[in-house]
Amino acid sequence: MTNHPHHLILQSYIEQELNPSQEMLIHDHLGQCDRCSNLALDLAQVDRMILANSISFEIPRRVENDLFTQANLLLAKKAEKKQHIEQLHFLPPARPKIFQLLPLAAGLALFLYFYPFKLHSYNNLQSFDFSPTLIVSENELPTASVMATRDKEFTEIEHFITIEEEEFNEN
Amino acid sequence: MESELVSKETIIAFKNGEQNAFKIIYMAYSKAIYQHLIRLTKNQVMADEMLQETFLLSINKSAFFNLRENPEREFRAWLYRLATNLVIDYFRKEKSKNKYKTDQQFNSINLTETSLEQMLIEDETKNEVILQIRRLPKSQQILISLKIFQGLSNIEISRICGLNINAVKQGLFRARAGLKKRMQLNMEEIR
Repeated sequence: MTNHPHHLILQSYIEQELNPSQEMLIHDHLGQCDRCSNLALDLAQVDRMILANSISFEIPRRVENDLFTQANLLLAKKAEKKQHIEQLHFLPPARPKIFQLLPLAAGLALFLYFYPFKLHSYNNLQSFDFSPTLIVSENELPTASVMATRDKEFTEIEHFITIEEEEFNEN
Repeated sequence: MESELVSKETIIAFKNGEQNAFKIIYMAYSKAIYQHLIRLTKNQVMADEMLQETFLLSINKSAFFNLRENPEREFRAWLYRLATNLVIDYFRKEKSKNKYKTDQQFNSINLTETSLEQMLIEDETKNEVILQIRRLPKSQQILISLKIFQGLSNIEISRICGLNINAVKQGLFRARAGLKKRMQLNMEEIR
């Protein structure tokens, strides 16, 4: 037999840490190979020898009592700390929703302020008549009497200008 | 001697600081951890102190324990890791202390350790096996204690010691082979 399993695989076999198929393979091999079966026996013997000679020690009562006293103190402290943290966690914030609501309120105000205007101007555009029309309405035209006074003023000014021109030419 | 696993609910309650959960965890693991500590330190006083320290550390650091998959096994491995790290720190301190110790102090320490063993070990065979284990490197002693005495799986040991699983297997093999060789030599010497 030349294909011997690795010594670590043999060790895993005695530790029962192999999967069933691997275990079967090693089991079959050990039945045929003296070298490997001796090695496996040696390893198992060491384990048995150690276990047979092991001594069990009892924990002294005083150690347990001391430990429990200290542990209870620590656990109580820990529980107190945890409770404190939970309380802090659930306390309402100092200035609660003012800062959250302010931008919202400002946005709403701006929207309400600009929305009707926008709508109005849009409606104006929609209803605007782009065909050429009189810029000034008939009602806004000057009356005949106003036109007459304006004509009179113009003739007076023209008369004054002609007199001045004549005087200038004579000189 | 595999200790019984505590349920996930108990672990959650322990993380929340419940005293009953701590009691359950202590009952489940204290004895096994105490055996592990006393085997490695060979000093009952130190083991007592370390047991207390392990469980107090577990309370303080319970928030750092993550409930991932298989939390029952992970929690046991985590407790063992706390204990083993304390032992490793103790070994380091002892090593640095021993460098500067006078012969007198060194002898007195050896005497106390021997007297403890004499008190606890009843017959010669037990004494011999324990002495041979003591002569193994510290890392191999830890592996032997976790694997053979505590009955933990290789994956758990790799988590506890922070080693690759193959390194754990290799270390265990070396420890077993070394023990076997030492015991054989001893038997030949007796003959």
